[in-house]
Amino acid sequence: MDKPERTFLGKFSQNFIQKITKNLYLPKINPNKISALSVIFSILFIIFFNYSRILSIFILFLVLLFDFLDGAVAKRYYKEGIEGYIIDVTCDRISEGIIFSIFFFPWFFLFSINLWLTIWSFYNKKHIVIPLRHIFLFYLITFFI
Amino acid sequence: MNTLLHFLISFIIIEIVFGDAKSYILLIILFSMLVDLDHIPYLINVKKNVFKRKFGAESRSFLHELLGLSIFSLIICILFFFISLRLLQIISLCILLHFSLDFLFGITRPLYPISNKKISLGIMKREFVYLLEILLTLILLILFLVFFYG
Repeated sequence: MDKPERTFLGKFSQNFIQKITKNLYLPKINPNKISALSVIFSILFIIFFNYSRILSIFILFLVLLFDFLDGAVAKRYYKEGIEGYIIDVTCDRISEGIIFSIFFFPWFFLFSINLWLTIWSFYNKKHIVIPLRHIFLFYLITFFI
Repeated sequence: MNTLLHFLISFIIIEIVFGDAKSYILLIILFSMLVDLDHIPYLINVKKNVFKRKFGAESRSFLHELLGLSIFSLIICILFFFISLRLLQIISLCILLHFSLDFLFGITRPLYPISNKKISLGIMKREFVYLLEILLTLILLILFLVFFYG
C-alpha cells in the first residue's frame, strides 16, 4: 500500500516544518511514542478543561506540538513509511474525537467529516484532512480566555 | 485491553469530566463494551481452548478500526437531532476511549478492510502491557468503588 500524496498545502506545511526544525535539536525517540503522547494528552485535555482553561489550552498546545514533533523526528532519524503515516493519521483522528466529544456541535460533525476524508484519502491516494485541532486552538483562545 | 478496564476508564473519566457518571452507568457499560461484541464471531469460529485464544488484530472486525469509528461518528451525528446532548457526549466518549486504548496498547489494523496492515505502537513490551493492564484494572476498580459508594 502506498502512502497518500500530500496536496500543495500539505507539502508547503511539511517544507515549512523541515525548515524550522533544520537546526533544532530533536531527541531520537520512536515517533510512534510521540504520536501516542498526543492521544494521552487529549484525554488530559478533557479532564482538565472544567478545572483550568489556561492549563487545558496549554495541554492542547502540547498535543499539537507532539503531532508536529512526531513528523519532524520521523523525517530526521527514521525512514518514512506507510506504517508511520497510518499511526500518525489514526492518532490524529482519535485525539480529535476525544477532544471534540465534549464540545460536540459543530466540532464532532467536523470530526466525522475528517474521518471519512481520511478513509477517502487512502482510497484515492491523496492526503486531504481538515486541521481541526489547530482551528480549535484558535477558537479556544479567542472565546474562552 | 480487557473489557472491564474499558468500562472502568470510561466511568472514571466521565465522572471527572461531567461529575455524574453514576446516573449514566448503564449507558457507560453498554457503550464502553459495545465495540467488543465483534469478538463474538471470532470466538465462535475459532475452535481452540477458550483460555488459549488471543484477542489479536484478527479477532476484530472493521467496527474496531477507523471505518467503524467513522460509522459510529456518523450515527452519533444523526442522533444529535433526536436525543440529548449529554447522552451523546457520554456515548461518543465511551466509544472513543475504547478505540484509543485498543490502539495505544494493542495490535490493530486501522485501515481494515482497505488494508490488512497490522500496526503496533510499541509503547512497551507485551509482558509489561499485561502487567499494566492488571495493575490499572485493580487501581481503577478501587477508584470506581470509591466514586460509586463514596
